[in-house]
Amino acid sequence: MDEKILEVKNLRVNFYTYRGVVKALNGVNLDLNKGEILGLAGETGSGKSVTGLSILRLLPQNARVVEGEIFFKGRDLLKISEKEYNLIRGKEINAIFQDPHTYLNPVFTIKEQFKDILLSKKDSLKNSSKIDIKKLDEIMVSALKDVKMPAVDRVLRMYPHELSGGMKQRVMLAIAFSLQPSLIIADEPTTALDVTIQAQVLEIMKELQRKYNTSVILITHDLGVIAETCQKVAIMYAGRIVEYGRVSEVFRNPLHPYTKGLMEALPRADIDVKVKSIPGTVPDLVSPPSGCTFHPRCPYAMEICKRQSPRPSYVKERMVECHLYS
Amino acid sequence: MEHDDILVKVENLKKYFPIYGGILQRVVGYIYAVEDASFYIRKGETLGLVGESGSGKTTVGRILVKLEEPTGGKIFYNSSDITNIKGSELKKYRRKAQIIFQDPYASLNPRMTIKDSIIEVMKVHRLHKGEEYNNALKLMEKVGLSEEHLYRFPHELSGGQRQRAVIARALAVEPEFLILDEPTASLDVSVQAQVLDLLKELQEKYNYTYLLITHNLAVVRYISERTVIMYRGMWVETSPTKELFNKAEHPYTQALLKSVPIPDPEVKKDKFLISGEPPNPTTPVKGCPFADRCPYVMDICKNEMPPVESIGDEHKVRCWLVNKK
Repeated sequence: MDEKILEVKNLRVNFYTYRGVVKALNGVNLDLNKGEILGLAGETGSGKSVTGLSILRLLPQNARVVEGEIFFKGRDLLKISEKEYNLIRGKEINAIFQDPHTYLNPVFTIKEQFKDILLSKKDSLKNSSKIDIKKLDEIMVSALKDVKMPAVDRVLRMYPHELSGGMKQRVMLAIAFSLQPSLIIADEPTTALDVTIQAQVLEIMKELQRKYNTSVILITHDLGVIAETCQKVAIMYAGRIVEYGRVSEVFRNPLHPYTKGLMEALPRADIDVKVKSIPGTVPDLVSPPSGCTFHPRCPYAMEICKRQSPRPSYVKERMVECHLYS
Repeated sequence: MEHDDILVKVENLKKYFPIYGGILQRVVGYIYAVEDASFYIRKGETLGLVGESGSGKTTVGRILVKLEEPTGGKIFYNSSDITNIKGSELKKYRRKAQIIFQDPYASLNPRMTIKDSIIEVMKVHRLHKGEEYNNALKLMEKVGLSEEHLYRFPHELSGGQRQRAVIARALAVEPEFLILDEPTASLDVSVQAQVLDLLKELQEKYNYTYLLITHNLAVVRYISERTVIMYRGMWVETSPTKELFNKAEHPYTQALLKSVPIPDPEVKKDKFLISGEPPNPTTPVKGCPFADRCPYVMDICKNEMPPVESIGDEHKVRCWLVNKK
């Protein structure tokens, strides 16, 4: 039996901007099992990062969760106090972001900031049997060895600018995995890296994920990265998950017209393909289209699509939100 | 190998950027951005220039539109040497060669409407006198935009529309040669396909010549006939694109191709991961630039520059391994 670790229910998030209310998430439902890597794919503005930030409770000031629940190990993360969440964030749930340069402090050495992070989590580690917070150096060294960092002692004494992009992202991975969290949100972790370096970093991430049986939400626009890294995939469009299922099934047989369109729009490096673009552009979420938000771009749009938003249809572990299947 | 339909030819292009230091701001070293770029492009053809960050591909593009002066090497356009042209000759060349950058928002003046941006270019080159507006309108149709977009400011357009507007402006001077520097890197996949198809269509209709600079191998496979792979400022392999993807000879090209994530979970790849990272660009290369990451490295690779080996008709590679075979 799979152990469910995260359950997002009907999550709605609004951003209040001078242009009006941006409905960034319009009812997101998501399940994640222990030890599973879920890919969250979508284009700019689809809400994939907002979903990640909501789980981390790191939404910007002008954003509000207007509805929904996020259960992590049975507790609703949206109902607990910031103080309680602080015991979870960093220890139980951790994050890796796209640009490691912005997340490492340029004026401290790797050792100083790594130590600070570990010490700030002292309270959440009081009762941990696995990690002895007093052995700071040991934790840091083994975390950096985990990410295959060469010359660990030297790296600890370095400042972030002395490390290359790939090395910095490895430091971020080391920090994220150092306290053996149950869940890691990786938001475009390799987008800023070159392909050969990306392949190295993804390989390390997969290894650590297996070693610690961590659950990972991998947010990316790159379907190739998802195909090679994840077991499950959720395709997002205009603030909703329009299709969800096993990677092998969704990629072989995409059901939602948007998923189909995405796959056909992708030029491939391994075979010759004729790409077909999706006409039109992503909708403005201040005033999203009526009915199904994809209907203005959908080649199969029917009358009902303009009037009514589709309900999710389920086939075993597969979910699709489209009138064609209801 | 000479072809009479060659439009652009680059020979042993070099570019070193000086590093200034000390209180007197003297030159204390160089960034060896481009060590050797050599290639040719035929009329109406697309050449892909591929490399990772720091490979020097963008610098080559900038030298080709003469935004940078090369440290060494020669550029030929229509068989005439344009390496050192200046003044009115340069202006004439700039009408023929245009560059399109990755970020369309940064390429457009935020205070000018698309119409003003396009017409300004025509005025600079004294083109279409009195007919500016009509021609701007025709350009918009060419790139799949409509009249209303002429009156918009860049921030009122989506990413894809903005890139189309930039393409329209580049076409305003009726160029022959377009340098596309990561033209779709900032766009979403669904929009990327639109822009790639537009570029293909324009080429078929008007016989433009493209130099496509990118790190995206899938894009290269999709639109370029021939490809040059660069590593640390040096070309390492060049070949017709099809052949390159089917039988790459240089270990770096092989590693690059195997590192690209394929959006098909059923494709099982034999992983060929290379460790390490590209060498520091401030130390000049001795021997093969890929030597310290190459799994097949030999002693000679570290000390001597590999010679150019011809494999097929237009397939050339620079590797000791191929030489020794």
